[in-house]
Amino acid sequence: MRIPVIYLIFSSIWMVIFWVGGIGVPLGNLFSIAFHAGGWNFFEDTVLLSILTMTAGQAILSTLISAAGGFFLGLFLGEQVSEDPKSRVPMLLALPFGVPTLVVAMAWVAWLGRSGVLASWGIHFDWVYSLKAVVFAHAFLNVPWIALAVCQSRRHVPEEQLAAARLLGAGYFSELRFVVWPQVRWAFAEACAQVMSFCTTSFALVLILGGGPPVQTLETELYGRLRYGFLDLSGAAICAFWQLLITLFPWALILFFYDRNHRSLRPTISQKVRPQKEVKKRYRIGLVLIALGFTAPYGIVLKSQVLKIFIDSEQRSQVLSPFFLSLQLAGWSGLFSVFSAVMAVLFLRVGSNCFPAVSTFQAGLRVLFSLPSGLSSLVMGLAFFLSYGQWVDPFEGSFIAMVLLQTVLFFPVSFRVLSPVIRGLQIHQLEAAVSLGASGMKAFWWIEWPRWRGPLVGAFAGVAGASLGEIGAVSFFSSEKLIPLPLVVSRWMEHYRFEEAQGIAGLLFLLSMSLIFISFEVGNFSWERSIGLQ
Amino acid sequence: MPKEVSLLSELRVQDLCKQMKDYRIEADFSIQVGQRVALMGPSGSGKTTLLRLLAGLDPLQEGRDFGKLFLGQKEITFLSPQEREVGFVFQDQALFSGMNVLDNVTFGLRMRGIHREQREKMGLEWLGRVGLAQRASSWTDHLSGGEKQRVAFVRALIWKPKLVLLDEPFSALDLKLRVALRHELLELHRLWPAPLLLVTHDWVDVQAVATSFLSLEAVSGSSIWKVRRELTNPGVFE
Repeated sequence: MRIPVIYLIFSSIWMVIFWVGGIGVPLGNLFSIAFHAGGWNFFEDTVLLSILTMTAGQAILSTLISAAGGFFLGLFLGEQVSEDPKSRVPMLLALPFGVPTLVVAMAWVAWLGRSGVLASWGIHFDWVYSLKAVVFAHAFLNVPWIALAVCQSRRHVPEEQLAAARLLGAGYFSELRFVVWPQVRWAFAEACAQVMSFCTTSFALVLILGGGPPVQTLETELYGRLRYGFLDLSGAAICAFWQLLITLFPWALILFFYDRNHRSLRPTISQKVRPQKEVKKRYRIGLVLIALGFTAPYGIVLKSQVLKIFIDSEQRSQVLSPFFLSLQLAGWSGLFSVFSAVMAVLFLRVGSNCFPAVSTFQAGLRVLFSLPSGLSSLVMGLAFFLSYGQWVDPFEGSFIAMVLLQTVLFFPVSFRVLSPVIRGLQIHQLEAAVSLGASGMKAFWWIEWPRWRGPLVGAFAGVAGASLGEIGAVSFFSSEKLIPLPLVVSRWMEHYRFEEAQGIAGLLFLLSMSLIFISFEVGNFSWERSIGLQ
Repeated sequence: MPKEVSLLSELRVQDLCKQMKDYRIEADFSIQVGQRVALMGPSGSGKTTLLRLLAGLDPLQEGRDFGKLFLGQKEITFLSPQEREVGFVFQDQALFSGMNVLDNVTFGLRMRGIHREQREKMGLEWLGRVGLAQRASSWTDHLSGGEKQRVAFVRALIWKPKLVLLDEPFSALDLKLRVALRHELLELHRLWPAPLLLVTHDWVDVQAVATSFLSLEAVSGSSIWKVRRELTNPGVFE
């Protein structure tokens, strides 16, 4: 049974429009401006060079600390929950990924700030607005991310292989080196690359916790060149270009080695997994608390009066419109992103049916489809602005541009969730249904739809959640009439309205957590897939 | 036959009683050097559990379980899997996915500190015996079912373990392949005749491979499964 070629034609057209219009043209414009502005002479500019050094330095340091902590934590948790399929630990480790970075930054200010919670207990940190604070916040946010990657891979190491190694004389470290490491290393490396990309492009965290000039990264420099003083588009393009190179470097490294070793990455699904062992309840609660410990500190933003936003009529009038705008933005971005991802997976699937010989091309496309996850929202925002800004009225802003931009940015989230679903297409069952008299649509509805429903809801919730806290991209197409919630926070922070800004941060935290729980419970969706860990 | 064969000794399972969640296994038997014993029994009777127990993967719990395990004069009841020196062939082979065929079969030698050149020589020699020398550098996920099983046999025997345990090694293979692999197993066991216990559901496996057989049978009116040595000779034993 083959999928009709008409789907290939339709999905191809959509993909071409999506990639040319959404990524090709904007990035091409960005590179062109950067080159014409002397992007290659970057190293002669000592100020920019020091910013580049700072960017790479803090990203590498944050990644190293996250990697060290995350690897061993993930290994430990993976060993503990390997025989407990119902364990909530992986889900809880994924939670911090859903917390908007703006909320993360504000939470750490609320904990560590000069008038923060710890200061009120007599514990003072003199490094809250410094590189240390940025690295600490990055590491705390990313340790569970790496731990999740390692934990999930470790969970899937077949127990029989470990038993075989033990029987052949392997001790704990030999087991780790020869059996576990080959099966977790790529997930670990990919997670590290993601962390490196994240730390390089981190915006809200560096802006709020870095304390300004002491910690200036390419991202904040780019923002500064657009936001303050004169509009230096070419300077911003140069920053964006070099930032893109740093961001993509670890991915290029992985792709280079991945290609040489891809055979060892084949999943070992057919291996028998041992039956579930009895895990002590108290011990299980302990593991859950460890995992939850990485999200709990952000809950401090809830201490400020979130409800006050809706009770106080003045605040309500200021927040209500951005609140609904954010919801609409999240909804539309989620819908378009999921639709584009469906087109992409369909394109890959039908393509592999029609041209089975070009599997390398297919693999290349899969990598390409994950590309936007390595792009900074500010860089993409700038690229979009440079390409399509001329058609946008600066006084009106553009809701459509915001939606399209976020669709491109969060497309990989949906793609990664839906990609395994199409790979598991139950062709034989569909054929059986058709042979029993069902039409193609009915066969799909009864056989395939139950498998698709959950991931579709999950992908939608994932994108909507990410969209809610996104600040870089939307800032390019906002206007006085078109301000989403994250921009309200940013403005209130600039006007020293910290308490009220924290109230909105609390609201964002509640919204994003709700969406994550919807994706877990209703969508039966795993976040680790969306961030590329499976 | 290698001279180390003289170091081999019989397996003795003495008054063993292993309490599982909802049933109990009782066993008392021995397997001599050179013997190949088949263990039969209905699904869920604890055949694999018994094998894992002998291998030390699910050891006896002190205070809850009873009995002793001996390899010759050496008691192995509470030894770790590493110390027991048991060659185990898993039902799903459990080949290491991050290694090629040669690295898989020589893993046991590597863990015993055998020099690389020597272990590769041995590995190729043993792989040659099962017709897989040319597949030495292949990744295990590129092998067919029969080839995987051969690799699993070689991996379990090449390092000369004191006891060999096989968990339904022929269950997922077609008839022609079964016949070939039974023959190859016999050949390999002739090279290293450690006491061998084979779990199977197939009576033909018993007739073709085993020198005697045991059966796990339910004790009527209880949740106890007891290993019994069958006295009836199926007629094709060596």
